[in-house]
Amino acid sequence: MDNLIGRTIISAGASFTGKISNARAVEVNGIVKADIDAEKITIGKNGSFEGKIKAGLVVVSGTYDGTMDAGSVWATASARISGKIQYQTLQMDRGAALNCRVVHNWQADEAVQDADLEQDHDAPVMSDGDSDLADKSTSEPVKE
Amino acid sequence: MKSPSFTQNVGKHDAATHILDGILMQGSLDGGDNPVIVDGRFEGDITATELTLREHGSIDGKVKGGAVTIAGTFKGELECDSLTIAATALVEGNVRTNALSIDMGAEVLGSISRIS
Repeated sequence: MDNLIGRTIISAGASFTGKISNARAVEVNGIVKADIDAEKITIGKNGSFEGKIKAGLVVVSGTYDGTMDAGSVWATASARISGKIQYQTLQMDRGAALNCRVVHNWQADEAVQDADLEQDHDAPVMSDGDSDLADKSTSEPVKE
Repeated sequence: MKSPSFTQNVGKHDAATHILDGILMQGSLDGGDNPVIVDGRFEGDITATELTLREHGSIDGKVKGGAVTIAGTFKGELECDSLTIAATALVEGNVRTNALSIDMGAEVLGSISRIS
């Protein structure tokens, strides 16, 4: 009965109401009414989830109702989603039903890119350390 | 269209509700007809036909079940048909069961009675 896949599972026929925290991968095949913060969440074909989701990846094959804040969302053909989705990347298969508000999270996207740029050009400047010109030429266009 | 690897590999392990190590669940859980395995931490009520609380897992709350095995830490009220307490277990609270087995080394604090 060992779960070799390494994820928390709410099995078919099971139901949970409450709060789930500190989770990594969670698979819902039963009925869950909860707020959850996890790395990956899968809502199985016969699974149903109601509540807030905050996750890196959400794969929906069942029913979802609530506010979802996710890096990647995959709505497969049997997905039924209502509520609100905030996402960075979204994939929707033919047949998926989205009756919800869908928001591409531009703000967070830009913030992430800015952080990446700063890190990228900081590192070589620190290691070169010899030329003021090189420093200005790389940093000025970014600021403007 | 193919499913990602994340939705594949769903085999026989899928049948049990499994709460992994590191996770915290607060609320009420009904396992339905399938077994429930707890490796993480659960606070609240659990109803299950078959419940296993593993060595590093803990449950704080009320449990109502059929066959219950405890190897971890349990605090609260427990009512079940049969109960197996393993050597690594710590059980604190009121236990009501019809069949009981306690391994040497287990810590049991509280009352034990039959379901009449």
